[in-house]
Amino acid sequence: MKQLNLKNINSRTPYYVHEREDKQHEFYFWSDYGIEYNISFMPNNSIVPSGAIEIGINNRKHKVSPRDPKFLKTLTVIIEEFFECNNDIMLYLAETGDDRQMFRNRLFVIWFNNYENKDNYCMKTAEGKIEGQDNFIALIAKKDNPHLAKSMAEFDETVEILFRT
Amino acid sequence: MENTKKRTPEEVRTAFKESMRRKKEWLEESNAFLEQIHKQRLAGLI
Repeated sequence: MKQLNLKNINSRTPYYVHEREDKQHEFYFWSDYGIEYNISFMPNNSIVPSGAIEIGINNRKHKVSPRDPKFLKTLTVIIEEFFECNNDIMLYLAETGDDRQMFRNRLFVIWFNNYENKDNYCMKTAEGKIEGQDNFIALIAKKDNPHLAKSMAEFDETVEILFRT
Repeated sequence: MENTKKRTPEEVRTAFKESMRRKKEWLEESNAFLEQIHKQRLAGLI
């Protein structure tokens, strides 16, 4: 994965974004509501074996900001910078064992559906149980990704095995 | 983009469980990091 350009990010984000010095491809910022966020990108070949990058989103209070538009804009800019530097497949995955996590997952889908440039991207989601545990998986990619069809097929195949058999 | 061979269902499940384990590990480390950032902010260090 190529390094994201922090200068580009901060030229467009309402919240100032820092890069972790101790970990590659990890960023953090805090909101007007005093909530600190950590955003990470890590390789994950478990869903799409030919290659994907998983985005991790975490906050200190473990709750969703009350419709904080500055948070959504900051997250959007970071994701856009990711796709600007890496025309790769992005994954978001989480266990959905509690209502809070389910709400967070829905929020991720709502974020995408309201994203102003979503026509340039496609998103696929799947939910299912593994050993009694609910799980949520989302794939996001730019429509011009040359490996999109293959990656989608791999995603479908994995979901079929994980959740339907 | 890697060339991939067909995985068995068992390999798929094992790979998924491993990625969820890594995710949990990341969340734990991330929580500790965010607590540290919070304290630094309260102390006016950043």
